Amino acid sequence: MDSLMQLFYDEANEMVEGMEQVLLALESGEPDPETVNALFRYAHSFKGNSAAMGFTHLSKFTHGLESAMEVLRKEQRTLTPELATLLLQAVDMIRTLLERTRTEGDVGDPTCEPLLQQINAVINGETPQPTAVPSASAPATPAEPPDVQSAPQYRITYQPAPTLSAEHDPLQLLSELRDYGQVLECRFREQIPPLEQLKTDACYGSWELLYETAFEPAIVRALLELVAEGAEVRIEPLNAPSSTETVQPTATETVVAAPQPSVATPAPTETPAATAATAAVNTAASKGEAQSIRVSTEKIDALMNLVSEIVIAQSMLSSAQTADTDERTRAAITQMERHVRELHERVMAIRLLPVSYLFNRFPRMVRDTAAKLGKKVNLEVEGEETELDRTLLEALSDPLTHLIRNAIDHGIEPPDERRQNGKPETGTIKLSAYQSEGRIYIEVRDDGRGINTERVRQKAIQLGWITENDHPSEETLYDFLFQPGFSTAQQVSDLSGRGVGMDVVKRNVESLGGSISVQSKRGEGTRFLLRVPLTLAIMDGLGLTVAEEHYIVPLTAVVEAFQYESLQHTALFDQYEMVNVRGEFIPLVRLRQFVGLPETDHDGLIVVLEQEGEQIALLIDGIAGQQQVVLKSLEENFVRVQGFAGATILGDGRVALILDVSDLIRRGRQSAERYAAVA
Amino acid sequence: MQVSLKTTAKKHKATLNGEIGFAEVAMLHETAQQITRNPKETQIDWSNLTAIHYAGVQVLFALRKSLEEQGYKVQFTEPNPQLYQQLHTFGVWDALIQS
Repeated sequence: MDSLMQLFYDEANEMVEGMEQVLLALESGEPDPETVNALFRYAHSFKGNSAAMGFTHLSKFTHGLESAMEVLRKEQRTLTPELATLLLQAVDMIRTLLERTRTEGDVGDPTCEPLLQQINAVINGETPQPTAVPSASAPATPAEPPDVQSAPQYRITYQPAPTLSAEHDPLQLLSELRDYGQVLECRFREQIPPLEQLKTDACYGSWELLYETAFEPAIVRALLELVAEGAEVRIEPLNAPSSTETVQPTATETVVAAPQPSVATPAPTETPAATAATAAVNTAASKGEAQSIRVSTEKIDALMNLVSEIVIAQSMLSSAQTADTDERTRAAITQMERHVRELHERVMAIRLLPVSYLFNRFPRMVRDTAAKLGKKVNLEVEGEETELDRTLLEALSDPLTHLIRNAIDHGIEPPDERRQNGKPETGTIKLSAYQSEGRIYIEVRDDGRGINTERVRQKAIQLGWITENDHPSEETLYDFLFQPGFSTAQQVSDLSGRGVGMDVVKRNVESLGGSISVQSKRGEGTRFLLRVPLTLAIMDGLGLTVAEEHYIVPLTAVVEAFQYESLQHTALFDQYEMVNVRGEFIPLVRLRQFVGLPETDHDGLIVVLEQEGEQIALLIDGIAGQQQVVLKSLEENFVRVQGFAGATILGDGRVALILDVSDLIRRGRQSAERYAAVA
Repeated sequence: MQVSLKTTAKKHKATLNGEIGFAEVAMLHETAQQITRNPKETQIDWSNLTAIHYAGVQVLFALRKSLEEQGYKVQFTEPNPQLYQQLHTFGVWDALIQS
């Protein structure tokens, strides 16, 4: 795919997503002219871009939609649920057509016209008439200027940009002027050569118009300059009131892309159309000074891989230092360490995206799922600006989708049940993200019925996982939810309840080096907490040794380390041990035992690890030091091994396994439960 | 097919249908070249044309000029009302039909 096409798809996807978000915002009862304008702008830009790429069906459908939205905007119609659903269907249609352009080309869809017809009928307060299909290519209903009677007049000279294209059609641009005012006179100056000399993509005409509009002339300028650089637009006010003149271009000004300050900052009283045009002016203004560039993710990934290799090489260099290394070399290595760290941080920052990139997908899903189940659900989102590695974001999409669907399907009660329980009819799902201790936390919380732990227990008995006499703790019961084949749903729906979801959620999150936990209170709701690393690529680790082997734990999980004296520890059972740390008992995991090495008689060291308020004491032989490590997935070549999150290459070229702190803590929890039972 | 050409001994008749976007202008240009290679009185029937890119309009202008230079006339049928309104408002229709 060439870069232009890729750019088109990138922007197109952003616009489709933007349209969806704006529609959902409007539907949630926040009517705001600027929001409606934003919707219109997305459709308008999408139409132009599609036409430029030669996707006629896509462009035509969006044009029809834009026309409908124009009425919505102009007449400040309320977005009824019916209309919102139709407009969202139209967004889906755009998405479908867009996707088809990748595989089948510009093929269109027979349901486009009927859908537009329905939308127009609803907007116009009519009963949809299937036989009266309006053309999707019908022009937009002209916008009424605020006050046509006293509208100022302008003389406009328009010399289009010299090159024509699918997007750059001067006649079409001129036609759009009619949406904002009245063309009183028009003179067309053609300098078209005979056919033999004609270049079909060259523009040979210019226009002079007498134009009446109550909108600011910046609109005219923006519309005529919007799609192609190089147009010359001259606007002379003929009878403009003095108050307006202050923001007009001078009579002889050849307008270029530079914005007028008074236009770039819209006045509070600015009309919707003017705002749209102002945005266009701002777009034009930004042409000359690119604030950002689009870079393919492949390039960034390649850069990140290279940085990873540099980190390994730098680590090798550091470990090659000996007592004989001279001071200058040491200083150079130290400086290099600093620069490599900064390089890593900066490259990592390029890969970071706000979680809104992911969260924005859910309002629509919640709306549709709730409607399908006859429930009322409000989605609250918090911490959208939290940044996370792009790869992680993509990988979290499926787990979060499943958790949210589950929350709607099983958590949130139907409206009448909620009412009976003294709850508001509308349930709330809160999706939040935050960063803490070098990790990203994503929380899905609902105010539904909560998890029925007794039902979970019964199901576990039924599955033979526990006996009737077992009464595991809530945490253990919640852990069952993540086991393959477990579901307490009494009905299997197409949304959830097949028992194949939560284990996949857990596996996906763990494959990212993350973990998931659940808390629930009967009748009050459930909270799933996902913890993932900031990045999959590089982390600060603490090297631990047992025998000759090196292991790594994330530095963010390390609380303290101290000399272990066997007298300090309290053994409750053979396999369940607790360590007394300043009067507090912490579950002990012997790393030698954990990795299958024989025990020694020397005492070793204790490293206390913590995650989410839970601690574990890890008994090791020694500490090898702190270092940046490049995370390598084991699962690309091996099956997932419990207790290990991955591997890394050490400075001396050896491979070290990275310990999975969540898994260690989970094991330690069993000790804690036994200890609690005895205590 | 947006552009079709019928040729008799005396004249050409080019029929334009649907929408002629920028992508279809090459086809229109090719048809116009066919006409000028074998110049005759020509009728452009665009009564079923709903929209045309300005590049297409330029081809029609250029065709008219080329044929007129060789002593042949081009006759345009009435376009559909929507297209007529657009061409007329912006002075293109009047310029096109003036001989």
